[in-house]
Order: sequence, then structure tokens, then C-alpha cells
Amino acid sequence: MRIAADPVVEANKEALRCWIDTINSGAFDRMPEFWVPDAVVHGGALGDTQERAEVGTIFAPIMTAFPDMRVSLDGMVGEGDKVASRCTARGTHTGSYFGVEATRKSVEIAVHGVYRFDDGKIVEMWGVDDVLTLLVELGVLPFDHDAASGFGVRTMSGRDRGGSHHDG
Amino acid sequence: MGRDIDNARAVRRWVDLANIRKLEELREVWADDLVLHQGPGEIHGFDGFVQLLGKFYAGIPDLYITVEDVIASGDIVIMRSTSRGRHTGEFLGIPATNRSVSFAGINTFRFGNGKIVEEWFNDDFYTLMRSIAG
Repeated sequence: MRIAADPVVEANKEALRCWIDTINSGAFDRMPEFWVPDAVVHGGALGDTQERAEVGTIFAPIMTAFPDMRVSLDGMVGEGDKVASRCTARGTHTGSYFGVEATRKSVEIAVHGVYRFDDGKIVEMWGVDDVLTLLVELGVLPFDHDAASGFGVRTMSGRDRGGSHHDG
Repeated sequence: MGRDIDNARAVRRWVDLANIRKLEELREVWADDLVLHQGPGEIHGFDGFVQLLGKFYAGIPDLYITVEDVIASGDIVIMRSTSRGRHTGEFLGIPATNRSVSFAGINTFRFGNGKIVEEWFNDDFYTLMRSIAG
């Protein structure tokens, strides 16, 4: 049995879907359609911002480092005024990132976010991006792979992440 | 809606049990054949999962997870958390530094037959490693 969906939750999920499409099209000038200018961003590779002016430029460092970055939406849930998403970001490291000069390596990492909406726009966002895996993949982080065995960090050579898509 | 609430409650129960180290009782909420995804890796099965927890607790014995937010719909729950503790044992090959650590997580859980069958684990290990390896 499927219970009738909450129209606000469904609209917020659709807005997040459109925002991810917008990232992938590179149309960052459309950001104000999805984000309020003074949105609060917590953590993740984007860092923190509470400054009005920063929200519009917060993606610039990542897009400079990984100009071909694409984000796939692997799963999403919504409840109340929040939408949480599980995504994978893929890109080629052709610009400086974290002080690391371009390696031209292709990388993919998990990027998970929780977005709070008000009146159809994102007003607050919490992000956790797997930056550790990114830096290990770029070969710039000294890391004891043997010790990390069992944490899932670099214990599989393949790229098969398995799992299933979800959209609840 | 009842299933969403039950699943959200089960995720909170897992954190509560982990925080008081009732690891064997985690079988209440985790399926025997669970799959845990982390970065490019995977862990299969409850026993491997508990071994992983053991590695955490060896390095950060007082590790405590605070649930910050739970968003549930259908068979999926996404939890945002903050984990805090002190690095007083070897962790990922790094000897104890006695430093305090605090890191965020956003983790996705999929339920089947009332238990967690799959998790996409995504805690901010970068911040954690920077705290103890810097």
C-alpha cells in the first residue's frame, strides 16, 4: 500500500533533483532559483558559510579543480521540511585542490547531504563528502592501507559499489 | 507511515546500543547478511561489521555518537550524526595521540524485514584523520 505523498516533500525532492541537474549542466548562475542567498552550509568539501556573499561562489573551488564533475543521485528521502540525498560525484582533477596541483586522475567519491527547505528553496545544508577517499585516490595522503583494511578504505580494487537505488 | 517511524526508531536504537557497547544486542536491528558500503569498499555480514566497530573502539574507546537528525521514508532512513571521543588507542595504524576528535556523519540505511540490511557509511574520516595524524 502506498500512502499519499506529502506535496511539500515531493516538491522539495523535485527541487533538489533539479538543482543536481543544474550542477551537472554547469549553470551555476541559476543557483538563486534553488538557494536563498543567506543559506547556511555546514561542512563537507564546500566548507562552512554563513555569509550571504559566499553562497553564490561556494562551488567555485571544486569546479575549478574538477571542471568536468558530474553528480549522480543514488538515493533520496524526504520528511517534513528536509530532504536527504546520497550522491556520487565523479570528475577529473585538472585544477588545484586542497593545495594539491592537478594530477589528471579520475576520482569518484560519496557525497551525502541533508537539505532544509523553506518556501521551496534551500535555507540550510549539512554535507559529508568522502574527502579522505578523494585524497587517497589522488595519491596525496600518506595512508596505511593495511591498517585500514576492514574499514572498507581501499580494500576493494574494483569500482563495483553494488547496492540498490532508493527513492522513498 | 508506521513503517517509517519504526525504521527511524530502529536507527536510534542502533546508536543507543552502540554507545553503551551492547554489540551482541545489535542483532536486534542489523540483519545477519548486512552489507556496509564505505568509500570504494564493502563489508558483508554482521560479524565483519562488529569487528569493524571493535577497531573503532580500540582506537577511540569512549567514542559516542550523537544523533542530530533522522529523515525516514519507505525502507530508507538517512541519519546525520556527530561522533566524539578521545584517541587513546591505535587507530588505522596511528598510535594513540590522546587528542579529542569530533566528526560528522551522514549515513543511509536500507531496511528489509524490519532490520537494517544495507548501509552506506559516510562519516567525515578526513576530519578525523586530520585530527589525529596532523
